[in-house]
Amino acid sequence: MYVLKLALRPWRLSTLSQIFSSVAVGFLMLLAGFLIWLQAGLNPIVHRLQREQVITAFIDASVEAKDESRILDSIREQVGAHPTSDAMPGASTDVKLVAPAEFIKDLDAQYPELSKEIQSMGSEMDQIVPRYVSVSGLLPDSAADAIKGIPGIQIVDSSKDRHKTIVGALKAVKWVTQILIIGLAVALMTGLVQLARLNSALHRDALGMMRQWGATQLQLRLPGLFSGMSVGLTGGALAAVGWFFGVTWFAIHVRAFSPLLAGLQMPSAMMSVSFMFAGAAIGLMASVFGFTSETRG
Amino acid sequence: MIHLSSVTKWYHNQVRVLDQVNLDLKKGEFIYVIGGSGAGKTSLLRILATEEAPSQGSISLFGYNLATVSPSTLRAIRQSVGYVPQNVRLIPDLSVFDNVALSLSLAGHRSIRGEAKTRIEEVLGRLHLVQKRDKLANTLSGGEAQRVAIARALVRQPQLIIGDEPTGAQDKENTWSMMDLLMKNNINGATCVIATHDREIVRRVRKRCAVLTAGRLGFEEAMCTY
Ligand SMILES: Nc1ncnc2c1ncn2[C@@H]1O[C@H](COP(=O)(O)OP(=O)(O)O)[C@@H](O)[C@H]1O
Ligand SMILES: [Mg+2]
Repeated sequence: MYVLKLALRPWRLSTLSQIFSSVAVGFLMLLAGFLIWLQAGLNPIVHRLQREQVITAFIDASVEAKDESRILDSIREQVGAHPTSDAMPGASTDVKLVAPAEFIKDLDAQYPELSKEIQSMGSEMDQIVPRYVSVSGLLPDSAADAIKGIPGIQIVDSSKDRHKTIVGALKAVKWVTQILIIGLAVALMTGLVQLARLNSALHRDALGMMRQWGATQLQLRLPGLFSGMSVGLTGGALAAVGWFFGVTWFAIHVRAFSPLLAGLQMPSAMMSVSFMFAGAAIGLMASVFGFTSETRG
Repeated sequence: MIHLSSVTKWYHNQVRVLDQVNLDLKKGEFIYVIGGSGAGKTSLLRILATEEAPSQGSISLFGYNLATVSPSTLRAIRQSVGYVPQNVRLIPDLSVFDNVALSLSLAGHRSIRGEAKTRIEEVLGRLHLVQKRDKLANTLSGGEAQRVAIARALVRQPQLIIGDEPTGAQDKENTWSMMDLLMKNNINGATCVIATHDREIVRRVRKRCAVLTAGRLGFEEAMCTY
């Protein structure tokens, strides 16, 4: 179809504009792709941090050893009595008593001198070395309060409050990422619509002549649509190549920033294909909006 | 076929380029529009080719009043017209063949690929353009470009041919082969409106003529003695 031969005119008449636009489209799409990946990957991490807690419940010194198991049972009951419906499968709640002996053993590994000193205290040791129950897993928000109410529990400490800051920070990152994605989309669209307008102006002589020959609206629009699509597709292809070769490197670097981010899933190289489709679609859409024709119909 | 009544045209509310022009043309007629430079020939032909609307008065083509015609009918009318504009207007970065082929592909009647190719090559041959077939339009001389514009108009076998000084940039030999081609189309039923100020053509190929002077259609003759 000879109408389509016109679609490549912008590449001939203003080659640099088309190339720059394609590169810009590719770069912005690649960036948007990374942001989308980051944004989507942060979701489960934030979710887990919000639910996961480690509660340390210190047992009163006056509680006798034979009562320890009773306290442990009531804690299990408290925590198990509120099974969270959306608890992650396979994530079990762990309740365990850390006896003084175990505490000393842990201490021995890290601070051997201190450990030796405490052990030399003999029976008085029990007065200083804490006995505590460590509860970890995906726990309901009320878990800490519930455990606090159990008789024989002295102090309850939850890791939830410590996570609050990092969850807040990650939420802010997600939020900023989403705004950036929208901003990128707007920039991409604006640039392409501008290009489509420029290309329409380049086509003006041909469009005027085609209208004179009795071309239909579709025939008049086809060259512009295909020009836009070719730029979008070229940009998409560049992004695809960039993604294919760059994404693993990028993901490894992001994951290395923090053990927390190590939970991010590795992105799929197959995403490359969707860049091509997205590029073509964006190019097509921009040319629909950018079509101008000043000659009378 | 063509009916103009009191067609008046002015640009930017200034001087009248066409003043109360009346014209009637039957199917298969051939008419010269004669007049000096600035007489309004191009303005008249642009209106006939539906490129512009008159400021006042009415025009009908193929029995349709252009002021009230639907877009799809207007397209059909345009598909039946072969227009050679004075400023040629080829698409500069397409080849000669593609310029002609584009016009043919937009002419509406479906034709077999091979048949279209033969027809394009035949027209190019008659206008001595075979050697230029694959040259880009922007590499052509003025005369060659004008002949391509004629090929582009005639290849669609139009029912109405509008030529704005189509022989303006041609040498003798090409002028006569072009007139020959026009006459052949005319004999086959095409209505022709040809603007010119070439007295020799008008004297050699005697036809009806209309003389424009300062926008007025001064006198019409059945056989031109311009
Ligand atoms: N687009 C335009 N805007 C203003 N004036 C125009 C325009 N086109 C033609 N004219 C004027 O109309 C007059 C007739 O022009 P034209 O129809 O081209 O005459 P011709 O083809 O007989 O030489 C000229 O004076 C010209 O300057
Ligand atoms: Mg003129």
